[in-house]
Amino acid sequence: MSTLMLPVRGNYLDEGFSLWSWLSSVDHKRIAILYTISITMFFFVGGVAASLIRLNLVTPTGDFVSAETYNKLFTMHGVIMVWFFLIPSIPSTLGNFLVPLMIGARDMAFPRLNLASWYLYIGGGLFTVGALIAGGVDTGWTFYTPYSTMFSNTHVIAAAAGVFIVGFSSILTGINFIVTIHKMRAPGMTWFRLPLFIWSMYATAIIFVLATPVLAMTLFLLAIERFAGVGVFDPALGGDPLLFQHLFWFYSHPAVYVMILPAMGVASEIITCFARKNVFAYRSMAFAVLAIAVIGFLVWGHHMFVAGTSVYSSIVFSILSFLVAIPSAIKVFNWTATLYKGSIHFEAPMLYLLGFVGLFTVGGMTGLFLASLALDVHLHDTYFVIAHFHYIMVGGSVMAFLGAIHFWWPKITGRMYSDRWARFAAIVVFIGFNLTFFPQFVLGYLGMPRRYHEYPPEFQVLNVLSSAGASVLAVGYLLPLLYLLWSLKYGPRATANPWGATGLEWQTSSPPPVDNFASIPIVTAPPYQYEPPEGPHPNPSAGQKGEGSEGAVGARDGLS
Amino acid sequence: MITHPVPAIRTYVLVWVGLIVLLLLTLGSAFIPLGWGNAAINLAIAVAKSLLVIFFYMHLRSAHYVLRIAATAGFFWLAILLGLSLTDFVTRY
Amino acid sequence: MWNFPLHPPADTPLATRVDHLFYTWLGLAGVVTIAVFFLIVYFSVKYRHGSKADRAMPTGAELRRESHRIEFAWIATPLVIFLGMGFWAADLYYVHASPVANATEVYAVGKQWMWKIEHIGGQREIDELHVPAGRPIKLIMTSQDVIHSFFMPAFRIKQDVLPGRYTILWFTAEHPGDYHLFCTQYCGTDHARMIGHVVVMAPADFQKWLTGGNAQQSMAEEGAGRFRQYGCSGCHGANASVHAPKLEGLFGRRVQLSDGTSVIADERYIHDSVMLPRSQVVAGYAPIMPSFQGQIAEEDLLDIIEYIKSLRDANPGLVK
Repeated sequence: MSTLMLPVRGNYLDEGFSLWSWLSSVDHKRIAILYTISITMFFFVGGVAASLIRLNLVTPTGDFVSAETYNKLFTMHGVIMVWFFLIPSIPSTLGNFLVPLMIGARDMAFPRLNLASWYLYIGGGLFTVGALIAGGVDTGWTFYTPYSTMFSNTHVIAAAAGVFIVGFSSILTGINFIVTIHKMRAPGMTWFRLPLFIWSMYATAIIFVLATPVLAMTLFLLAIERFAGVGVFDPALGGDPLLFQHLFWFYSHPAVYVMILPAMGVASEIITCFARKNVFAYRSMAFAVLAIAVIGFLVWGHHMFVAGTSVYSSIVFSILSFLVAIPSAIKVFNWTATLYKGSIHFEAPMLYLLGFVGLFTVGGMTGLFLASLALDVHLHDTYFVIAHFHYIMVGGSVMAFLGAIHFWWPKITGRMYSDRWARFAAIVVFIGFNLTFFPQFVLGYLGMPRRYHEYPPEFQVLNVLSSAGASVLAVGYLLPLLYLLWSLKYGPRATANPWGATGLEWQTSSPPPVDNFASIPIVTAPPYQYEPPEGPHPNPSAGQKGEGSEGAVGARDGLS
Repeated sequence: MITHPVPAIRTYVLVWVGLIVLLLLTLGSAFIPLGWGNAAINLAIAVAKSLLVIFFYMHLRSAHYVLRIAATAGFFWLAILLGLSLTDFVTRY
Repeated sequence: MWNFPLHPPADTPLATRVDHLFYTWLGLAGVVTIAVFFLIVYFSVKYRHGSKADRAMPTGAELRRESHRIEFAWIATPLVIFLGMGFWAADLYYVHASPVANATEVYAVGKQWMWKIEHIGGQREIDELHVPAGRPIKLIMTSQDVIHSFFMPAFRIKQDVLPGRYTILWFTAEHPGDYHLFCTQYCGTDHARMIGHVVVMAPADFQKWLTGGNAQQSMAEEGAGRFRQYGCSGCHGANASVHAPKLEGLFGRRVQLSDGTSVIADERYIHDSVMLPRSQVVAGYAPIMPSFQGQIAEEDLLDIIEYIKSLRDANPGLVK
């Protein structure tokens, strides 16, 4: 297999220009682009909902939209951002693009299954958006029973069906990743030579496969109860509403790790590249990712400390929640240690990822507040929780996603964007984000509950601050859309390895050829080969002058 | 490709007959009132049936060890779901 | 406009203890976060590309030993601190979850979108809870429809209020004052309007409020009326000809059920026996009781439960 030579073909973007050539492509790189376009659209739909929410909260009396509309808006924001943006964000776009490239394979193990995942994603997405447009859903993204089964008179089943369908997209993607990473690695690519991004994709895929079926069953039971009146969750029918919460969070808590693990993988790649220094403690970084994936399954009960579960159960879940914080802490410390004695460059991807480490630290530390039982009794379902998980998901995952898009943009599109604009946008996002969400920590401790369409007037100043920050944040998100699109036409052509990185994906041309590599590389060394010289670095962007494609592929052989 | 011996048709039929016998046992046990014993019997029969399906129809008896680990992981996670949920349900007042 | 609070009022001993926990966490998290931010900025400046900083590093076995030591420290230190904080928080949670024995009981029913409160003496209020300062109060709460959550930020406590179950919240307010009451579990359209006040009064004022209130009769007396109104007395009364379990002395007793198990007759048992009578049939009785699901309001059922509680020591003749 390793010696198989294929006829040289052009880059994957030139393989066909018709719409059908995209919609029927089983090339993992093209499917990644399909995902990128679709999740970007969903991101901005969810973002519009967020903007309307923040606009409404400028006044304590909620004058902008009615209570019904407000409830539908935050439901739409949650459903779209969680299932149609955050969960697929990094795995489906960059994961799809990079997994085969990073392990030295020509495609995923199941290319057609990969395309089927995208169609399921779009099918589920259209279903949900259709339900939302037809009149909306007002249950919140959590679909808590018995409100969702017996009391809400909105389009619950349709929205749940959309989420149900998109779950299968996750499962198929997860299976594809697992099999690809197990079976398709290039010769010499042992487990401990895998880039940390691959480790994080592997851990994510495990969560996809093991957790998502539980979501599907739960939503199915919900639909049966709502549709046919079979008593599962509604106490009036002999059910138990807490059973729904157990099942829902058994999926949804690991789903949070689906959002953050890929971001951690991205951080390890980018920080180590721009620090020009090998990631600190590679093995413990890999094990930490797996530990988070596994322990992440044992902590769901911390969403239910005041829900009416037993005291003993709460104590068990609280202790387990503190345990899952340990591997996350290890990762933060190791990223910081990677900077030590590096030779640090500050291009846009690095700025995003340094921001990621800072914001993730704040999000993680406040998570410990919430894992503390007595404090959670006060903070649960207040804006403190909102601020906490936005620090993880927006400050963490979205920052890392943007950093990753910037980092691999030259590889994906073959074009360079304006680094000046990109650095500016990274700073705008960082400032806007903190302005938006930091006041919400204070609001939460003051006791402002979440999902409130109006609120007591003493909370107004902090809410106005938060809304003002949101407008800055919106600008920060629109900027990359503009200059990245601009770069597609006017950006200078990218070399194979503009950042001087050492992963396999940088050793093929930009954009990569249809078959990824002219010949399958033979790996003889660990993934990170950055050796900062003592004293000043001789050549700031050694990689930029490197020629692309074939010549570089073999270069790795000599690197050990 | 992973290849493994495909069981003979006879095996499939025998397993099917076994499943039907177990089904009849479930049905029959419903007529004997044993209190919580009924639930125990039914659960035991259900486990036996799923083991038959897993080992024969899903070919796990002759599968590669990685596949067996993957299948076991599913049950392990199911045990987590049930076990940790029970920390709540059995200790509620 | 700039005169807004940054810290909520704290009015129970537990609230003060929760605040201590919070500010300790804030200190710890602050130290860690500032350390991470500082190190990132410091390394970024010192080891920026092209700087003349010394970049000599240990290599080989020495590097491995060094990094193992560092990593052990990074695992052990947070673990010890986190678990210590976790046990502190769990201890407080246990206090929060264990009402004192002599607490005054007050009933609360959540309903889209209001809180109905009833005092033992029969005083009813909506979206307001009047309590005396300095006396422990135990709220026994249930919901008429969906899940709500009873949140009093000044006391740092909340508890979800579930249909078909009774959940408990207890506190001892210290000073007279007017505090927020919020519903924190999303419950539908007017969730944000399901708010009210907790009015803490000096004990003497509270007594005055109780007597000046709208109570016609106590909850138990009210419940005796409901007991007849819903036809319960037809079977469970002293002169009933139907073979139905007697309710005198029932509350708090262990009841043998027909499936061989037994339960303690608490509020929840009585609630379920009325709403889902076939789920727990008393041993020796036929499952003939009809379900009152959807026919009886939760607050009326609370009156009936209070009435059945009042039969604890009564002799059978009192059941009319």
